[in-house]
Amino acid sequence: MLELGNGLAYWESRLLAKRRLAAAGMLFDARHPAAINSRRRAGTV
Amino acid sequence: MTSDIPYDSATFDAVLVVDVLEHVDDPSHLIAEIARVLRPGGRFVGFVPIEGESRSLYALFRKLLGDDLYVRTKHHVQAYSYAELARLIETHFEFADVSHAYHALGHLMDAAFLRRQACRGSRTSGGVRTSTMPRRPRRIASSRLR
Repeated sequence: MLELGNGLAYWESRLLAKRRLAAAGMLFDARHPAAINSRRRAGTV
Repeated sequence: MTSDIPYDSATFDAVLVVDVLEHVDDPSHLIAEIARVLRPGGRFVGFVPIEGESRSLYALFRKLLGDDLYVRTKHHVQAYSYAELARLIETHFEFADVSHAYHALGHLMDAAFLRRQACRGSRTSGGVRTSTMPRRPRRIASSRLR
């Protein structure tokens, strides 16, 4: 049952990837700006 | 109520926030506090329901079942649009990655559940709503995000 649910969720995401109408929410990975600035200065970003 | 996170500044390498920001009265303050307790180089990872988009299934359900539907049934006192949430987070962070979660089938189950909750709430004096909760979800004024 879990595999069926995961499979449906996967194809749902693939089919709706660019459509926000059915999107339930936003996942994000954000960085503390201090880190980004230091990595930019170091040339790693 | 506004309160600080009870930890010293620059304590954590990462903060994970899942299904939280829609429940807090002052999300701007919470984001600032997360930025404070994170070390330089820290990651802020999270998931937030987007219930404030005007053209969405959430908006349709609210139109059918009441504008305070998600306040009553889920205690969601905030309803973000994508732009509002992005502005809120970008006041203190820079996005490294953003993606969207889908549950169209879940929306159908939500509809049945919420319909039942809405009917129950209208029949009883209190339902799941408490007196301290607003009738409508709050929208963040852009001035509060700066």
